[in-house]
Amino acid sequence: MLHFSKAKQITIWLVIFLGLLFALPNFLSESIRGSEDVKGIIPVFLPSKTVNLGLDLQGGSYLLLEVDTDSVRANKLESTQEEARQLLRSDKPIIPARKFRISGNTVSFKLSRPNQMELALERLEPLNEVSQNQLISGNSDRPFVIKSDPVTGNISLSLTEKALTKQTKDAVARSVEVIRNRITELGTKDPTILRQGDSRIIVEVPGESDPVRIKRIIEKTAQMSFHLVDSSVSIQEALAGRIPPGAKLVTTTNPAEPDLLIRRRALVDGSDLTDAQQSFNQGGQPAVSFSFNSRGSIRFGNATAQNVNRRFSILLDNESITAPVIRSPILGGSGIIDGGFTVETANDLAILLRAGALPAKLETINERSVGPGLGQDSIRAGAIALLIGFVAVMIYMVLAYGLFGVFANAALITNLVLILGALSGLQATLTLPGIAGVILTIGMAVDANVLIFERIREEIAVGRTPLNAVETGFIKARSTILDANITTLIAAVLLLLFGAGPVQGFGVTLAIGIFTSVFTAFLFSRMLTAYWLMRFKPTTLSL
Amino acid sequence: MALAFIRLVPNETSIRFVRLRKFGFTFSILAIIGSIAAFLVLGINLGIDFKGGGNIEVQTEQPADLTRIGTIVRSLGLGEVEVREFGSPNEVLIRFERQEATDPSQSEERLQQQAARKVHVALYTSYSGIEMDFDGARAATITAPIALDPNKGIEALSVFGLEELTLSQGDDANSLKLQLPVVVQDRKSSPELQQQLFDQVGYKLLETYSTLSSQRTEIVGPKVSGELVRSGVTAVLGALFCMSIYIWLRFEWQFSVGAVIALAHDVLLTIGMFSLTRIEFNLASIAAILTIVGYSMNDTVVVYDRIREKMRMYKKMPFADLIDLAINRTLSRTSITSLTTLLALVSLYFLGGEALRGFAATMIWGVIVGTYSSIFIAAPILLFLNVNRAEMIENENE
Repeated sequence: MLHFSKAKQITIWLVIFLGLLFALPNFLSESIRGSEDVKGIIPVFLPSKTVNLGLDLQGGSYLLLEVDTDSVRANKLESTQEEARQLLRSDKPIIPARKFRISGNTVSFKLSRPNQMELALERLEPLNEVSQNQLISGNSDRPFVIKSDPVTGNISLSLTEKALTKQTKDAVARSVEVIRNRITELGTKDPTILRQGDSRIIVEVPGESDPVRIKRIIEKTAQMSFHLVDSSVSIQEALAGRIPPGAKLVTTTNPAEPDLLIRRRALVDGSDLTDAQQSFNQGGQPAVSFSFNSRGSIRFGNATAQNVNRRFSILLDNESITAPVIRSPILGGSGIIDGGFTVETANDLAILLRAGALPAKLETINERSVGPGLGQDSIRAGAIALLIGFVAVMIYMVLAYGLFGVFANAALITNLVLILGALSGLQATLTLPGIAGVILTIGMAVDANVLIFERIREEIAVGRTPLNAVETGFIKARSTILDANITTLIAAVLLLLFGAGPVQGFGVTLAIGIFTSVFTAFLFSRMLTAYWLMRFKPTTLSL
Repeated sequence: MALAFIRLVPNETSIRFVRLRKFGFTFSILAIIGSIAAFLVLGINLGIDFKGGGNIEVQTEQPADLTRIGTIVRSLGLGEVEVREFGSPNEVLIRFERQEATDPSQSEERLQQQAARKVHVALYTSYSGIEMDFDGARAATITAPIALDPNKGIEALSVFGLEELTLSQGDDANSLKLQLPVVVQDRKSSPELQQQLFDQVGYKLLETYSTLSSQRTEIVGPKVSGELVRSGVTAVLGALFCMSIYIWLRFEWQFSVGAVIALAHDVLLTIGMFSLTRIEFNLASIAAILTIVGYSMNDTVVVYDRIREKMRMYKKMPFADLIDLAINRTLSRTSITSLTTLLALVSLYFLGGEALRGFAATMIWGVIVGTYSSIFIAAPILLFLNVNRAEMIENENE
């Protein structure tokens, strides 16, 4: 136990050296680390990362958002209903259907001629196609369960729970991208936008302690789409409730024409937009110019070509911004929206369009914000508590074990350096409870050494020689130390798995602390003891 | 050289712990009954993490007047509100309970956020002394009992990035004039839009001129709080389960049962402590309980390891004596480790800041209870669990 091969010794020193190296940047101020002079002297391969402070320590805002599953479902079912309607009329013979309705997870309708059932089901097939991606991942579940009754002509399409979950997941994934774009446009530093579970998004913005500002920019959905205006009935008739199938009433921003009847199906939607910029129209008024990707260009080109002299409406978040008449086909894949903007509102709209539309409504279900001053105070208080606790433990160890206490203290100092190095190197987040974890670890870290020293005392008491007593002490304490630390590690891992937010930070430091304290107490202090025994060959041990 | 090192306990103790088991068990059973009773009668002081609602920590320039803040916040009709000093006389914690929706169309999550906003507005208004007179369109006059420096406000309003938003000194030093741009959202401008802009700008000004500042805001909606309760309970039960499996694998099932009984004892007494002390039970408390479980298990394992070792050494010794021997041999270690841990925790309690105080207090309690339970519960209970000594020794030899 006391023999350390050269390779082992080198490894132990190397680990400590690396820990020191990773811990070092934390002691250099920002200005030193950032300055060009230093960059010239310190080689770039050296670690330069400091401990990643949690929002509770550096100030900032944390928001937990949840995608509204109901709105995801409603969007999907509504688009399915429209697509079904289109598919039935897509070819000759047109299959007339009526009584379209959406309830729960189901879209249902009734064929006017039940004998067309077979043809209808064939036409509806594209709705239930399994996407390429799904096939690759070996998942061939279809999104809908289709039920049909050939006698009455009733057809119902029920969205499966699995498909709904998938839709929600997709919505979350897209939302994460959109939010990232929008927050980046805000110009804040190092925001974190993460997906959590199936329907949640975590947004952390360091340094921004006013969550209201962030929420304002996030919660705008900015769904843009282009629709044809329906002129088959007059607006008065529509307002009286006679809305033709496939059409809907929307409000507009134009006081002269407060309501507009449009086709539900979008010609093109915002997902095909590639760019949007604030610009000016021919009259010199602020406007927003936009361009489509190739798919959007083709669709928009075709749609405008087929509908010259009809009006189309640009819908933003279900409100018509403008409804110009198509004078000629718009083929280049770009256009301009002018809706009586000021430069600012045009600019805002361009940002929102550029960042893309949120696919579903998001709700804030948890928010925390911390001002920058508070975090500083917490760090100072934590550091003082750590220092005092540390010194108290060290004094006690020397009083209790003399020279062996010094070995344990060397292990303790090394332990602290390694924890700091590991936190910096792994870029784990240090939170306020995390600081508590470090302080607690300091108190508990000496346990391994205490176990060993108490064993050595016992061995001396039964009359062993110093060398032999130390040797036996380490051997006998080994399995106890392992058992004791593994059980604590179990607690730390469960904190990591189930803890929320800052508490996870506690689990991280606790877990790191377990590894470093076993290393320092069992390997490092043992090696120090061995050096001492070899060098001084004491005949008695004072312990 | 004979140095007199500090010994918490003499080198060779031979306390008959097993004989004391009746006292230990009786005491523990009474304490558990007391804890459960306290929990049922008094409940525990659940923090917003588990109950929903909001915490707002504010700081004032002068020592805070708790009555004043309490009156302001209570006038908002937010239900039960707690206002207390937090760490220093200048810092105050305001806690409001979960705001319940009166009709199902309201989003409860949003209600919590609105409540937090109301608290901020009311406090800023009071602590800036500002009165605002808005004409409903583009102009507002801002007056206060003290002189207002327009530059402070101008700087604060720069975050809006609106060119036509101006702030200037009013008729005297105590007043300011605010000029708002016309908001044209798409083609409309409306009094509502002007009001919205005024609300935002006004809030920023109140915040800027207020001598009270907000340090921390936490809002937990009912969805999250329910989940946090579940994940907390899962974590504690999961830890107990995993540890018992580990102990079963390393020792025998009797040891695993003994350890789990001791741990359950610690958890129950800790809950009793929460109930009696009214320390807020929040996420950090779950972390504390898990750490207590880990710590107590650590102690228990040390004693168990020694029992196993002695079982092999003294095959004929009565089991009770064997347990006593193991506890006595580890007593020094147990007390020293507890002491160093307590040193660190006491330092954390007094110096670590208000936010960590509850955590430190819980851990201090846990270390004491955990140490007690490994000696007086976990080890003696083995006597009742029919440990098969022959089998254990056999397994060891394999």
